[in-house]
Amino acid sequence: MACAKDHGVVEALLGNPLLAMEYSDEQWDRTIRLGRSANLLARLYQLLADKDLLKVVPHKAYHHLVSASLQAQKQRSQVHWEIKLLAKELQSIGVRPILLKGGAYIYANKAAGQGRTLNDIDVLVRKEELSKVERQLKTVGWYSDKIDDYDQHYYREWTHEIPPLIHYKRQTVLDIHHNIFPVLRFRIDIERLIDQVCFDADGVGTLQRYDMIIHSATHLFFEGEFENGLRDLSDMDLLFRELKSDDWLKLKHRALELQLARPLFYALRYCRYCLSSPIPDDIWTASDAGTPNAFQLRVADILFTRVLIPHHSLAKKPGHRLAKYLLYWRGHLLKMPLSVLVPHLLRKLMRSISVGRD
Amino acid sequence: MSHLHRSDADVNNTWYFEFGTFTVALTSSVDTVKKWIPFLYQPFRETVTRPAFIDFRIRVERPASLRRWVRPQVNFYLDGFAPFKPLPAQQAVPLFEWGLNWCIANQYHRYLHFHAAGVEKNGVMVILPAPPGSGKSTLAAALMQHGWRLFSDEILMVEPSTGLAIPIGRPVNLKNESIDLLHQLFPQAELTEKFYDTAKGVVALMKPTAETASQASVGAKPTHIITPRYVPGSTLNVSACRKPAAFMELIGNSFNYHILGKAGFDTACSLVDRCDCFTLEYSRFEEVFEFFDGLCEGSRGG
Repeated sequence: MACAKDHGVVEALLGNPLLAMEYSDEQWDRTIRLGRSANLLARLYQLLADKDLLKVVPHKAYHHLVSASLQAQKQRSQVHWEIKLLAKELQSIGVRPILLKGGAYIYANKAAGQGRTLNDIDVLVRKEELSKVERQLKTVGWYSDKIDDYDQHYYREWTHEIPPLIHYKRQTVLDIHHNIFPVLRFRIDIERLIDQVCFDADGVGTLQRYDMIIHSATHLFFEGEFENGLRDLSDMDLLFRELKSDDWLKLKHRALELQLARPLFYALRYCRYCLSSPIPDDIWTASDAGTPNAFQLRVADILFTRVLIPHHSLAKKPGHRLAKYLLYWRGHLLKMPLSVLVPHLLRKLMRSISVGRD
Repeated sequence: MSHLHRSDADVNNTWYFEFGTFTVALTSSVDTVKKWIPFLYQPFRETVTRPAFIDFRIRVERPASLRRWVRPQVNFYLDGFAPFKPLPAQQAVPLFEWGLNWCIANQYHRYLHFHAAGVEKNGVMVILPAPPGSGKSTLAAALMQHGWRLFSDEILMVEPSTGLAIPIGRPVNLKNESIDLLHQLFPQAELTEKFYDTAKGVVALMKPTAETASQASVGAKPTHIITPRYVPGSTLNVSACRKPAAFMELIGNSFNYHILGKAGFDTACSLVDRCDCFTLEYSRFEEVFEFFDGLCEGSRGG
């Protein structure tokens, strides 16, 4: 892997906020531009505030950080409110929602929820509860948008979620999942995750902390889109930083048990590489399950280090587009066998052509 | 995909402006932009060489597609990101102005923003909140030509910690009949050409007066909140506005009241507490000028 000196200003600051004291005005200019494109400005604000470093930030840059943080704070209170309402609606049909990703970090008051912004609230329910959940929510103002029969079919048949629900008044978007990964290729035993969920008094669940990390890693490294890749990596970095020394092996064992060691391996590797996460050296050995071979690792390094960045012209390295493209295909192949994938993509292509014509 | 980034290399087509607290870089090779932006921003322009920190990096360019030649369009990019759909190429200048307003209203929450105009003279600072079409831009432009300092015709910013209104002092966006009207009344006013068929009809931009531009970083405490309404053929009619109504009017016209939370509430409350609040129906500028100049004299006397 390339050495750490290639690191961008945002990654360096996420890894070590103390660097703020040394940044020049030009570096702040880059930090704000890159941080904004990676949806990480509010997080940078929070990390600097925690270390009482906001006072070293030049005025002009400071106001952009504050602005992003105010927006994130506003969203944070909205997320709490939405989750309360959701839990109440689902309580009436005896379902307790389990939060995933950003919504869970915020709700569970994790460091990874600080300065976290989100586009939708991700929720997990049991597959057998899915249709009554959907029915119930549709009676209280949620609808699914611009989705034709094929999309409905695609979501329900091949993915691990139903089409996004939108609240007609508040425009909040809700993604309801029944698994953490598309059901076709691997069968992830979701019951093993649900077994360990802790529910609070309001009937809202969050994954236990190892599962939270493993889910985030699976989501990032098995999906094909990396628009918020660096942000997701930073989430995991913050989750890692909450672990104590005897947690690391338990985390690894849990990933092995769930047969999700590979994404955890990548998460550890790239968090350490990109964000200098304090991860012990000795938790993974080459003989452990989930370790890629030397060739796979080489390819993975080339590809992932090109997409786990702020998606901004200042940060893109040569090969960025190709890496993005290859990983997009890999993501699809991981989700679906070719016999499903090829017709699906052809259909998407045809549709984009006919939409493009209008 | 037309959302491509380009390098920052176009030195000759880039302008740096500093107005109020903002530093903006605009890059464009569109002819109307090259013609009118230096004209409109001339009072601000020479203050800046290439600054180290830029608040908003904007590009107004034709997309690199067939649309370059067939019914040409322009796109607005904020640091490589295109928040809007493209507009017909002849609207490039208004697109820049509207886009920059969007940047401030959407991304900058140091101040509480109101959809309002603001003018100041001799320490009398008047906020003119009103919905689009109520004539606030026209009124603000007329008052500016009459010797008042313009804070903004579109976004009035108030700093929560000090309660000061902070000027932006940008070109005034004039619409439809008001363009010719102002041109007749104020032959000295400097306007761009007319841009036709925009979402707001015919648009022209008025260059800020030297007074407005030279004091673009000097804030002022608001003293009056006056909601204007243009009523054709009417004589001037000023009536006191109850404070709770003025408060609701003000926050109803805020872009980021909900984001600032309690600080926004406190700022709006103390603003309304401190200011005299009126509604104003008018049709003739002479009467309006007399009324506004009267506010100034009243404040000097008292």
